Amino acid sequence: MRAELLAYLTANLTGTIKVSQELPFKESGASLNTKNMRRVYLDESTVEQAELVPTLDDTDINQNITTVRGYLTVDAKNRNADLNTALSTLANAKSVATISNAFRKEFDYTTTIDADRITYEFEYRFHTLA
Amino acid sequence: MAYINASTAVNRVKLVLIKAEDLAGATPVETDFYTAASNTTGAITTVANDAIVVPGLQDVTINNANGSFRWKQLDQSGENVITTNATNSLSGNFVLDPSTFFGIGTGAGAGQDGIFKLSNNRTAVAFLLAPEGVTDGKKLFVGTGFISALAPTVSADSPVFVSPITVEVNGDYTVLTAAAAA
Repeated sequence: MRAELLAYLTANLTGTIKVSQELPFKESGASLNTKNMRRVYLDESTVEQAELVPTLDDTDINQNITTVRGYLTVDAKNRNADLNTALSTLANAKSVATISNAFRKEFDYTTTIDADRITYEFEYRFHTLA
Repeated sequence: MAYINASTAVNRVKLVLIKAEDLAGATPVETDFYTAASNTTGAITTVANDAIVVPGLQDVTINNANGSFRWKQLDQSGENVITTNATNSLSGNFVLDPSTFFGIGTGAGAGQDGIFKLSNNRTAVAFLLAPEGVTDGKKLFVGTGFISALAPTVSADSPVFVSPITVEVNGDYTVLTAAAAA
């Protein structure tokens, strides 16, 4: 799922906010998204398997919930002019056509302000039949 | 207190259907539905009469609703009552499996026809319900009736077809004791 999201965001985030192909690791104690502001970082996917339709026999129908977290840090004092467009693009990425096997797609984000920086921490969740 | 335990693999609830016309005698017996089962795994290993072992059951309800007739007498302060003929039915929900729902061929047995055709053609069926599995000594409900209330449903949040199913029971239930397992 991360690869499909990266491909979509790379093609569609072409303003002042762009996408990094790297994982959001920490370098010298600082996470990359705070060092390299205005770059979207997508973390590795995590998968949780949960029961979708429980049955009395051993034929339970299960679903995989694949979660991809991402981070974007921008200047809190001087908002990027295309920040709203970039956030819309991030939301629209959940519907990328190349992720065709998910029956439920979700996206949300939270914000944290630290000094003069605001960090958008967002999460994609894709539900597929296991 | 003991209880009917349907939680382990050996004791899974089983609903088995055949065509009523395939019964050997006038009333259903265990070997009309299967001739071999495992006391170790609880699985039915050899079905008889092209039986359908309904997979993916989500819940089952055994309905035995007696009717009642009430009357009042001037010499009594409370009503009198007697029970009358029962309305019997088995109901539940199951996940649709294409093989058992649509059948696997055009032969004469229940498994060939599938659950939908048995309902659509209003074919008389015989059923065996094992509330605690089919290992030796467990109790079994058997009887005859007709399949109804199929209503396959799918939704965006649960993209797997599930359906209610009711077996409208013709007459009484018979309770047997399983003895075909080894």
